[in-house]
Amino acid sequence: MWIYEKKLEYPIRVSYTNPRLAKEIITQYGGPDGELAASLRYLTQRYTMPTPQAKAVLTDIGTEELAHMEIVAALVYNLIKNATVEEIKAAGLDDYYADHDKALYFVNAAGAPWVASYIQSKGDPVTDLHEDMAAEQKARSTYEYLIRLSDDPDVTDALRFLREREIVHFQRFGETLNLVHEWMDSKKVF
Amino acid sequence: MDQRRRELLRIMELEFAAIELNLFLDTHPDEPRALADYNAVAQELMRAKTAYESRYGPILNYGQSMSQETWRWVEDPWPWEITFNR
Amino acid sequence: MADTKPNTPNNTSPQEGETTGYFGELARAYIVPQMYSRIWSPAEGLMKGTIFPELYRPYEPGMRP
Repeated sequence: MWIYEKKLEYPIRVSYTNPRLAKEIITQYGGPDGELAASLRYLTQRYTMPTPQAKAVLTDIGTEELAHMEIVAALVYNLIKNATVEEIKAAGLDDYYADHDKALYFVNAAGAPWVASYIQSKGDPVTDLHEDMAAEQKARSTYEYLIRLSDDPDVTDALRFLREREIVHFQRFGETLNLVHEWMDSKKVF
Repeated sequence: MDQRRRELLRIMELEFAAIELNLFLDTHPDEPRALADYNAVAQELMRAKTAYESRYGPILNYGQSMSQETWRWVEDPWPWEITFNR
Repeated sequence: MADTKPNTPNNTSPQEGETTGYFGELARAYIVPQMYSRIWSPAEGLMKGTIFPELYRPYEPGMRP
C-alpha cells in the first residue's frame, strides 16, 4: 500500500501566471514520456521481476515518479490558477479549458489523452529494464525541450531538478540490469 | 521565507537525501557507508517531521502520525498550495 | 572521487580486437556500477537533484549530451 505525505518532493516556485507554459509542461503529467506513464510502467512491471533487488528498485522509483507527477501537477495548477479566459485564449489553452476548465487532466502538450499503450510490461526483465532505461532518456529529452521553451526561471528550476532525477534513475536501472544479467548467469550454472 | 516553509524545506532536504541513499542501497545493499549515512539521515528526518507536526499537524496519514486535540490532517494548505516564492 | 576504471563483469573476458576502454559481452548492455564516495549535504543535493557529484550532469540549452 501507499502512505501519502503532505509535502512535495521539491519546493516549487512560479513567477507569474503563464498558461502557455502550462500547456507545454502538462505533457510531463499525461504525455507519452510523462510522470504518470513512468510511475505506472514501473509499478506494473515489478510483479514479474525475478530478483528482490529489482522488485525494490521498480517499487521505489515508481513511487518517486508519483511524487514527480505531483510536482508537475503543482506547477501546472499554479501557472493557470489565476489566468483569465482572455489569457487562456491567447495562450492556446482554450481547447483544454472547454473540456476541463482549470482542472488537471492527463493529456500531452497537444491535448491527446493518456493511453496505456504509452507503456509496456513484457514479463521479460531484460526487456522491461531496457524499456525503463529508454523511458528515463526520453523523459530527460522532454525536460530539456521544456527548459528551452520555458520563459520562467522559477519553473525552469523545478524542470532542472526533474531532469537530473532521470539521470540518476537511468543509472539505477542500468545497475539493476547488470544484477539481473548476473542472476541469469548464475541460473545457467546449475 | 516564513518559519513553516523553512521547516518544510529542511524536511524536503533530508528526505531527498534519504531517497537518494535508498535507491543507491537498492543496487548496493552491502555498502556499509551508504547504510550508515541512510540511518543517520532517517533519524534526523524523523526528528524534523515530529517537530513540524507538533506545529502544523500530521504530515502522514493512515496512522503514521498522530494529531493532537483536533484532526488537523484536513487543514489547508495542501502541498500544491505551498510555493516557495522568493 | 569514484573509481572511474572500467568494470568488467567477472564472467566475461575482453573481446578480440578491442584495445581500449570497457570490455563487456557482445549484445548485452552494461552500465558501470557507481562506487560510494563523497556525497553532498542534503541541502545542496536537493538543489542539484542528486547527492552524488559523479551523477550530476547539468543541462544548458543548446548543448547536446
